[in-house]
Amino acid sequence: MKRLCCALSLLLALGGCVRALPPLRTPDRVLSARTSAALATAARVAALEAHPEQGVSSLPPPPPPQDAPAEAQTPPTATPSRGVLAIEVDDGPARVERVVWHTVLRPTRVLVSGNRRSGDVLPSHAFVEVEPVCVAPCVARVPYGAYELRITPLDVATRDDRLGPRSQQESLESSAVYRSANTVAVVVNEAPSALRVTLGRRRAPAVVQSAGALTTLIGAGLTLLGGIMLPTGAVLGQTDVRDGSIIALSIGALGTLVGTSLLSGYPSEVRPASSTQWDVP
Amino acid sequence: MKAGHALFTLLVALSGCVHRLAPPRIVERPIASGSLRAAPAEEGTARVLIDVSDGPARVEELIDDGHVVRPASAQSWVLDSPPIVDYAVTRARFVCNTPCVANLRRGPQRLSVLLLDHEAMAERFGVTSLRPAANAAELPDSSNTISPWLDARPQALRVTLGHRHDNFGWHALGVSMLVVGLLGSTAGAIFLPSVLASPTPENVYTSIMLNSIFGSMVIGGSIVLGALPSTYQPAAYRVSSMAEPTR
Repeated sequence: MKRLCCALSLLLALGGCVRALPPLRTPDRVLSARTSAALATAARVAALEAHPEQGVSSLPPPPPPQDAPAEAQTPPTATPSRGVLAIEVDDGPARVERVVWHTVLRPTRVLVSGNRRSGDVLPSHAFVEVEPVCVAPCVARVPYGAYELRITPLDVATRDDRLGPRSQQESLESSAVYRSANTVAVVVNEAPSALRVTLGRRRAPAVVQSAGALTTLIGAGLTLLGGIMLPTGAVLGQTDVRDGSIIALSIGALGTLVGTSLLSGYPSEVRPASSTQWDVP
Repeated sequence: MKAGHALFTLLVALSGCVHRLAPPRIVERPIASGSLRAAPAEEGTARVLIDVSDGPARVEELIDDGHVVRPASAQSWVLDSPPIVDYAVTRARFVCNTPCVANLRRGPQRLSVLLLDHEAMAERFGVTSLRPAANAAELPDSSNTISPWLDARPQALRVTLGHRHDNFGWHALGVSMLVVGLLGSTAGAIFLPSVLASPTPENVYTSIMLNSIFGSMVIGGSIVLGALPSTYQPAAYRVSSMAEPTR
């Protein structure tokens, strides 16, 4: 069983290259009226938090008690560490998460072998740690800094269409290349900003590619065998060998043709997501 | 099984024949750092302008986060008693897409640089990085990883990537062809006297055919091994201090 798994993994790895497509056009710097209004409100709240004296100019602070220490006489100013970010996704409502870490576990040694046999390959594991931000369209208070946002459409059909079938989504998320289809980089600072995202698309037809690789290998093997045996049969005058060689050659050539067609016709594809971020006055 | 291990060791040894090149020259180019969007400066961090001469790139901060002991994943392990494995944990934190101004921890850093152009990345570092099952291959090495030391001053970090061309697959094919060809040729040489003793057309033809095939395998294997060496070039970088904070 394990040998079969190894063989399938090898075939999958051999199966075709990934076609890296350019991103779709960069989204326009336009927000919907509802998001714009929410952003304006959030920006105003953030500004008041940062400079509370602006919001209470008509209400002067009460005079401090005479015995108060000098440093307590100045009103405390908030030191916000979060900025305002409005997010819209062209592909409909979507869950937005902040990517915190990308973690990779690499096997270094086996402590207890279980029923593992020597020679079995231990795989590495990769996973992404995220924290939720909001469901777009939304206006969020997010930490200052540069980081990536992962966008996942809520609509199942859209999600499967953009990010591949559900059974593959977790494994594809662990690869930086495939992750680019639904992650975008943002930089958040004091200035309220807007982010508009158009999702990319990714495809990894593993079953078709494995079948293509297997068919190609068998086809090439039969072609090679037939190519070697055909002159042997002709020289030795053995019609059985010659006929068998011709059959092997024919089947092998057909298998190679079908296999390579599957590999080239159903390649893995990645189109990265595109985004626009701009400051909103 | 021992023979398999011996063959694997031989393959690894031969694939270790790597041409190691000197780091590339660092390309200096002007950057309008004032137009770059940046996060506010943070206490205890270094303000760094990062530029990669090979094109827009994604920079990640790498942190070795110790080890963890756990059973091997059930997904990849169809066993009732999975092995208990010690895993090294590496965490990667997104820093920015270059050119950019970033806040980085002061002191020694380990940064990985991945070109945003996936095709260019595959060309420089091998197509394995584009395969979904190649998580381990995505772990960077010094051809796209740098270890600068950052202090409190505003600094510029300029990077020129190296490249890594791993021809392990071709080497395995070359060694396999060489081994099978040599064994077959040896067998052909051993049986040649008996063929010459009874030179029937069938025996002569079979002998010529097999020796030609095995001889071709020896020549082909040697060509594959000699013509397709693995090459490796580390990335180069330079940290220079800047007069004014980049903002």
